[in-house]
Amino acid sequence: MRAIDLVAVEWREFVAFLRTRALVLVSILLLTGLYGIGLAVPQRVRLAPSAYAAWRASRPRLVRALEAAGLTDVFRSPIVYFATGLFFASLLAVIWERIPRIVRRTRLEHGIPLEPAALARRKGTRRIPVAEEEEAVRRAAGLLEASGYRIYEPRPGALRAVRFRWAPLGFLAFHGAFGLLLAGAITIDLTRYSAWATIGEGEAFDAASGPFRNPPKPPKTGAAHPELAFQVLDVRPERESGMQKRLGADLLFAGEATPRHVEVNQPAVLGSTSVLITGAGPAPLFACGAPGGASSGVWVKMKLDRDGVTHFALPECGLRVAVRPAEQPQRLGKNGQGVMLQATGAALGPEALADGVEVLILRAGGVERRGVLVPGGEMATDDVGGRLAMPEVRLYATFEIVDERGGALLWVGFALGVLGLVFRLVLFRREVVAVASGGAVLLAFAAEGAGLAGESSLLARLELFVASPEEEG
Amino acid sequence: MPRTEAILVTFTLVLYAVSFSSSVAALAMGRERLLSLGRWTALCGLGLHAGALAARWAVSGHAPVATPYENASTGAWSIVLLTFLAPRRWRLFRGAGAGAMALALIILGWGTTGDTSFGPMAPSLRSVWLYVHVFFAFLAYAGFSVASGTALGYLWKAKRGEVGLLARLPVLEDLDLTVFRYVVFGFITCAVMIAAGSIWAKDLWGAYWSWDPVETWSLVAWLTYGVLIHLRVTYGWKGRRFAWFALLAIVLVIVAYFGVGQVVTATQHVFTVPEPPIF
Ligand code: HEM
Repeated sequence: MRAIDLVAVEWREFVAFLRTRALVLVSILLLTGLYGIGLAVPQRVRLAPSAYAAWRASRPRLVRALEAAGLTDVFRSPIVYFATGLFFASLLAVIWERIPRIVRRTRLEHGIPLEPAALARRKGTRRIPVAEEEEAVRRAAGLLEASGYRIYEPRPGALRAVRFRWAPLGFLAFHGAFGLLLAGAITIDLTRYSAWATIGEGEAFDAASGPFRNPPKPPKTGAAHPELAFQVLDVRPERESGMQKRLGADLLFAGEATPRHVEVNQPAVLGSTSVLITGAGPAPLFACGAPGGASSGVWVKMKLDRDGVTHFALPECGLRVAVRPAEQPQRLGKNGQGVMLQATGAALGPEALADGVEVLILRAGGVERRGVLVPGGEMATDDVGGRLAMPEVRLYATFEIVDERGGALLWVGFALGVLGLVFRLVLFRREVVAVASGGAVLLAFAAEGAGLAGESSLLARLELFVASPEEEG
Repeated sequence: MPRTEAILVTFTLVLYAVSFSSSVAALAMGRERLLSLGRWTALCGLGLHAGALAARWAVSGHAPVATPYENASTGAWSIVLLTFLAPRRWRLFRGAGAGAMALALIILGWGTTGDTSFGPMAPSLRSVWLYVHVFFAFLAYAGFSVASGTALGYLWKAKRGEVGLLARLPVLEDLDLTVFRYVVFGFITCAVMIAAGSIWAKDLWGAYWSWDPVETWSLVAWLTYGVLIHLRVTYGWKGRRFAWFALLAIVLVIVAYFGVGQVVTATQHVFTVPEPPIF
């Protein structure tokens, strides 16, 4: 045998192996199990770096072993890539082999044999004695047609009736949808750019220069960032009976004449780029005055997370300051339920500072002075005339800027997958065969999916009707 | 909780409890009348429960799907509703009624022991995709619950045979088919739930999928039911083996419904590094 033939044989055997039912199940179970590990083992990407480091320090051997096995970043580990590859190879091999079979199943000529001898031997075939067998078959055709079946009658006295003949294509649609989801996921992975920015009212953002909260994540392919620039015109958190109700902002995008309004859950979408608002808070202006002069001040974006303490410096007056709202904001998700969900869009408006801002003037050794500043007020920072003022408060918002392609593939994949499932499992193909044979009608039924139980009343009626037309009605 | 809702929920609980007790008694004593009482009280309870949900919706201004209590109440309602939406529903009630009513009672009862207050809907929840997502989640979870309840009935009857009250359950073949149908129903609605959640996540968090524990858990549960359907359509699993799998798979759903929040807090708790307070 030539080498090339040997390779062909090996290849065919490999593909046959990929198609085995056991491998299909193993590949799905393997992926399910690996995703399950992602739940049980803390994942590096989901933890704050300090928390991860603390865990690593507390269980060094265990964490190192998990890291070596790739289980602390399991969703991007080689084993998950391998399992995904196996899954899709197996899927492709099975789909490829099944296409002709499935297409054949949609044809009316295909199905239970119509030869009386073969039919009589088939398990489950019923023999109903009648006087006029061809006439009885014709009657059956009428009843089945009225019940939504398509009739195929290659010769008088033999018919096949099929309902939902296209349903078998549902298998291809559903399993093919996984391919679309994979294509969408890969496209997104390659093209995704994301950045976070904290921007005050009146300030501007440019994807080329920021300001960014942390370094943006550039895409794996294509331009390093999208062409995007906007100015924040105003930020509007809305509360009702002390609880947050809405959060929105008006943004003016470069090249556009009218501002766009963004809300939590309603990002501004410009082509493949979306701008999401995710939080907001007060940004008071702090200015200091010393006997020797006054600073122009800094707008301080007050933190909302953790203990809500914000640090800043006023170098002109040699001050280091820590501030937090005098009234602590309600902590979100105290029982841990929906923490991430509720925290998105969490915002504090100017009313959060109605009771003022607690201020600590810090020195190398600790706290030098403490006080409370209300909007428009000021406090002394030392005993020789230094002062700190809070003349004005405006708002800031945090934005997430995302640019990615491939989302449409996911949408199509979702739709196709669900349609495929409905076709294959709800509207599954049902088939009835009636053949005249020596003073009787042979009746046979077949169905894919949840069995013929739903059709049982039709089938019972059919039997009676074939036996005697008076029974109908 | 609004007053009208409180009254309606109380009556609902009473009716569900009567329905549960009479369904169990019907099975034990074989009295058709008790079974009928069980069905009608469940149906009346379902009506009052719908009224309670509507009352809350009217006062809060949003669908009752925003707090753990609201989810429990809507979830319990969906389970009872699905039990009645079955084809040949009276027959199904015989097999799954007692189980479904027990589940509805536990879930609704558990919900009322927590915080039942309401406020405006958080900004993150203001999305049509939330409604699609949650609606299908309830259908899916209710479908899986009815499937596992019926599977329990199947296993019980398969083990003990046509004796006593078991003789009054539908025949094994019917129970088996019902389990499969509800698994399929749950599987399809769960697929829609995951897709809708993912589309919502794109608008809310900027990414369709981020391997968040709740997402992952739902995917694992869905894949597990996919394995179960495979076992049926490709390996021909039926009867006992199928019922055992359907019965056990519900554990994943229960964790997804009640537990992920707890599991996640637990892990976050361990790994939180507190900063020393300076104020
Ligand atoms: C390696 C990947 C996969 C392969 C090769 C595969 C193959 C198959 C095959 C051969 C059938 C039987 C079709 C028939 O006889 O009509 C089937 C059915 C089914 N599979 Fe898969 N499957 C895969 C992945 C999945 C996954 C991940 C799910 C969902 C979690 C799934 C869900 C289903 C369902 C619901 C059915 C019954 C409906 C239908 O036939 O389309 N499959 N699959």
